Amino acid sequence: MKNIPQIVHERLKAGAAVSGHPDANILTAFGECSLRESERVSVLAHLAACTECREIIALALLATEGTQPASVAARRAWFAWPALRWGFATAGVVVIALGIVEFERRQPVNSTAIVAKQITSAQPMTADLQNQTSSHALSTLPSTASQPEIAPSGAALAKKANPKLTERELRQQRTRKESEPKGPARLQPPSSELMASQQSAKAPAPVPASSRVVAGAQSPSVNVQTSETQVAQAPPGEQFLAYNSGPLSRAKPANTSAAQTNAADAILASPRWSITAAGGLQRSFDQGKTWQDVRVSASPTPAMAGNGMAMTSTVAKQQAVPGAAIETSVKAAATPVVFRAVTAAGNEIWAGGSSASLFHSIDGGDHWTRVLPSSSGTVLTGDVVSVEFSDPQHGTVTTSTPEIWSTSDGGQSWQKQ
Amino acid sequence: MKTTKTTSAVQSVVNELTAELYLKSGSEKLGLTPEGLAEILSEVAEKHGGSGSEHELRTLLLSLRIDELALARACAAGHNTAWEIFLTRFREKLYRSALRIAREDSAARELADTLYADLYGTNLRGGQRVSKLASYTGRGSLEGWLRTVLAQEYVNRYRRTKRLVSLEEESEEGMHLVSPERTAPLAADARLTQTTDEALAGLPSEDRMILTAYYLDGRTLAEIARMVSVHESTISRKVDKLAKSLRKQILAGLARRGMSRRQAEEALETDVRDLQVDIRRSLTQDSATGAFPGKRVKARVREGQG
Repeated sequence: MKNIPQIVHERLKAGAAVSGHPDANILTAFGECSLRESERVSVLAHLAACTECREIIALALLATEGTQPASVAARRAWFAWPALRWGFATAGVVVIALGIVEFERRQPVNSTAIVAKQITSAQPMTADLQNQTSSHALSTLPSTASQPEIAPSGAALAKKANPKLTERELRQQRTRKESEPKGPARLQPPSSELMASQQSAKAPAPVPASSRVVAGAQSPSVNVQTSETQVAQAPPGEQFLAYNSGPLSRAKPANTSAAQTNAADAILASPRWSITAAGGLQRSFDQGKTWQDVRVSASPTPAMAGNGMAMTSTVAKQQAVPGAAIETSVKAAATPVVFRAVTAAGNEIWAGGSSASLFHSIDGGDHWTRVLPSSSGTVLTGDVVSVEFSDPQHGTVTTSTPEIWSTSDGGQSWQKQ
Repeated sequence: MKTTKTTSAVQSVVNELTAELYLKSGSEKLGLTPEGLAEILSEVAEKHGGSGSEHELRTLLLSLRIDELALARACAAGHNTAWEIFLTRFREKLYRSALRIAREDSAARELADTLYADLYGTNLRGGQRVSKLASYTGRGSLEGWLRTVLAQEYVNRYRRTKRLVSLEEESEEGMHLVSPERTAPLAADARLTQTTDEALAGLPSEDRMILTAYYLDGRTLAEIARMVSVHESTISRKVDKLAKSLRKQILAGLARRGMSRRQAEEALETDVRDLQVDIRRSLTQDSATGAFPGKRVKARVREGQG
């Protein structure tokens, strides 16, 4: 540290005459930065000349309880600098993006050419295709999505199952890609299952009802379908599955925005969800290497109890709240529902399927609660074919009838669109 | 006239805010009445109200630590509930603060106990118990105020104790061997003094305070940073910058007063008082280093005077 000339030393010591020491209230307020600016300047002028008051301030600050050493406070303050905070955030995003790109590169590649060939092919999907694994789990973040995207392998498989539908979907998706931001959520399919579609995680404006026609089916074959897609009536024997994934699964394509990769990396740690061709729910804790069946029993259909409420007769575990949907707690039991849509955000899962089945879990699928949206005496009907939650509070459910139901309080109450 | 105007502005603002602040402060459970609180607020507003505009007064009163102010004043008024709350919240903290200041257990206890007595109000004035808590105005936190009062008490004690150091202690420390301080400083070049004073006067108060705390008090950068609520590295940079800029300003000022650059630098670097200090230090040293320091110094003086 540079020394000052002795003359400066002497003149500082001489200083101005000290008048009127500030009282303890003012000195305390000075130390706590709660003085007016004019008062602060006045106190500083006094402190510059008064050794005793400087001593008092220094001692009072020394005695501050829980005061950390200045070096620690300095280190905290260092990280408080906005520039450094942003710098670290940016560096983190870059590292995550590089990691995801690297991870993506290491996945088995389904080339674009194969996809293109399959798209043009008129081969029906066969059961054999169900065994074709696609490790291309394309996932995007819910907050960024309104444009569904199809994994190459999923498109190939979907195309084989229902060429016309897939082509239409692909055409529509290509059109939408030009105008809408990307980022639907996707699932990584189980190794033994066909790749399913993706769905926008962000609830967009309601899609016209005509675009929501979905046909149920019994065959194990699967078609790709997105909630944003206008799909024609599926031929009999086809089963539509809508995989709506929240912020799940694997690395994104390299062209995904940094904002998406940032959250995607955090998502990699969450269990992944999928729906089998038979409508079963599955989850994976090891990023799709192995999958477990998750069986959710359909509890007795809840009875209606007024506007916006659904009650169960015997098994309700929550007190009815006016205007809210009552949830029936159910444990995973042996009666499967034919699921058509699932969306997940961490441990919060929404899954929907046949017969107005809509289930909610907040513990990663260990326990489920059935939810029956209702409003103005009307309850949800049909098969749930799409579930979208942009955040834990705001979600939309689409059925096969078609109906669109939305919630803004995490499923406590629902409105029919 | 101005006082009357200020008083009426104070009353107007106090009347406006009393109900709100009474609720906010929890005064009821402490035993304070709304009228009592209004009186306290008027006193604080009169004391710290600044120019007296209603806006300033309103801002001041709303910025007070109203709950702690009510507690302190209720204690000062002798309300037992308030005192129990005060003891619960502050007794241990007060002792710990005293320990950090005094750094020694018995001194800390004595310091804390003395303050407790003052806070409780063992002093009587006109037959009335006078509590130090009655002087708390809520501008800062009550805990911070207690630490400041402790520090004030400690500084006062230390100064009293210092004045009473015995002659035996002085001789043990060798103080009697130290040459007496000069009664008057040697006359430095008046131009140097004036220029230095001008340079220092041109500094903001905060910069002057930082310089005095660092160079006169010997405070660490961390301590100074805490005093002015900035980062330690800011203080480090500031001290360096100030030292350099002061030197430049003084040299420029000396040049304006007719000194050549060389003369100005010599005047700045070779202060006569520096030489005196060096000689004294050399004479009191036991080491054999610097065989003829005095001669070297004298040579420099001759050069300076040339």
